[in-house]
Amino acid sequence: MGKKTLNTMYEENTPRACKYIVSRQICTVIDVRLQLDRLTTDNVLWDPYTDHRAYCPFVSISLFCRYLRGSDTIQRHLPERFMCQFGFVQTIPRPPLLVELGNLATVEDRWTHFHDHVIRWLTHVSEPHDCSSDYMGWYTCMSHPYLIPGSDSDAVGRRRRRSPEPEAVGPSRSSFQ
Amino acid sequence: MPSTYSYYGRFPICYNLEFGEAAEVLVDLLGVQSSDAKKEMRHLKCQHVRLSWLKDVYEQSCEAGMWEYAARAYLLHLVGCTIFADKSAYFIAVKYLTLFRDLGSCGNYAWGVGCLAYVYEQLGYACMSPTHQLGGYTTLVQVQMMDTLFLL
Repeated sequence: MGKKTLNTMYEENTPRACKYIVSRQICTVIDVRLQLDRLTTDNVLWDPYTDHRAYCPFVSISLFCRYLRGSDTIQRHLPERFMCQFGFVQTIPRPPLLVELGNLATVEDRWTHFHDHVIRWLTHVSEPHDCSSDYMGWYTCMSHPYLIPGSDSDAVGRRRRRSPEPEAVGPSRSSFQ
Repeated sequence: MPSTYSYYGRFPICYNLEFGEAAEVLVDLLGVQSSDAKKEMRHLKCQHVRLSWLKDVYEQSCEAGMWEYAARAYLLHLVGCTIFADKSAYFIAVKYLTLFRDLGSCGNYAWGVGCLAYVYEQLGYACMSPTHQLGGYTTLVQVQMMDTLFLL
């Protein structure tokens, strides 16, 4: 991955990728992993496309939550897992296996009638990182908070995975606290 | 196939081709000699062509005024560098050429969806420990990361 520099000439009516100038200076994998492990809430921009919406408006198909086909593959597309990006409160998503595949005709039919398969009953956020009260408990149990395994005494992530009840989750250096 | 298409277009689907089928596709859609098509694929030992070979086909088609062949060579080169890039960044599978059979209607494919599905598949492979590289439109992944995370 190249290091990024902001393009000062960028305007929102041009494609988003024009915002960055990627230098040939390369980051090592271990370097990027360290940075990811050290991320805090302040280092995350939850809704980066708010200003861009004036030129590239939000469309309901972005909330289509089923399977997509392209090339010779069929893949789940689950925007319900990153609702903050669209300005909605994040709730606990369905287990991916509950989004059933069906046969090829079903996949095509759902895409054709996408209006019936978009996420509904959403709440707009008041703070960009808003989530439901039970979400963080779920997240810390299900996610891998660290990319680099630390020593056993430092293994907050691993300890948490064994304790699914939310009250066991203490303050930590996890990115979502 | 459904009789009515989504407003956002059809899925851009293509299937793996046998050696003979791939050669036929190259002859039909790019106007190359069958022997050249087979030689190119034999050289790579799979149903792929080099992006540099496509560039040559494009230039020759332009010189000969064969604009449909030129357009297809250009488009295949384009998707081979972007949304359907493989990890080599050097080859493209001949199967993608079938998406450009009808130049008048290929704009009706939901190309963005094809790009997403392909990159999701590649991200799945990248999660496996023996995998060291990521294929697909990695620019998209990188820009998303730069947009949301303040990394150095």
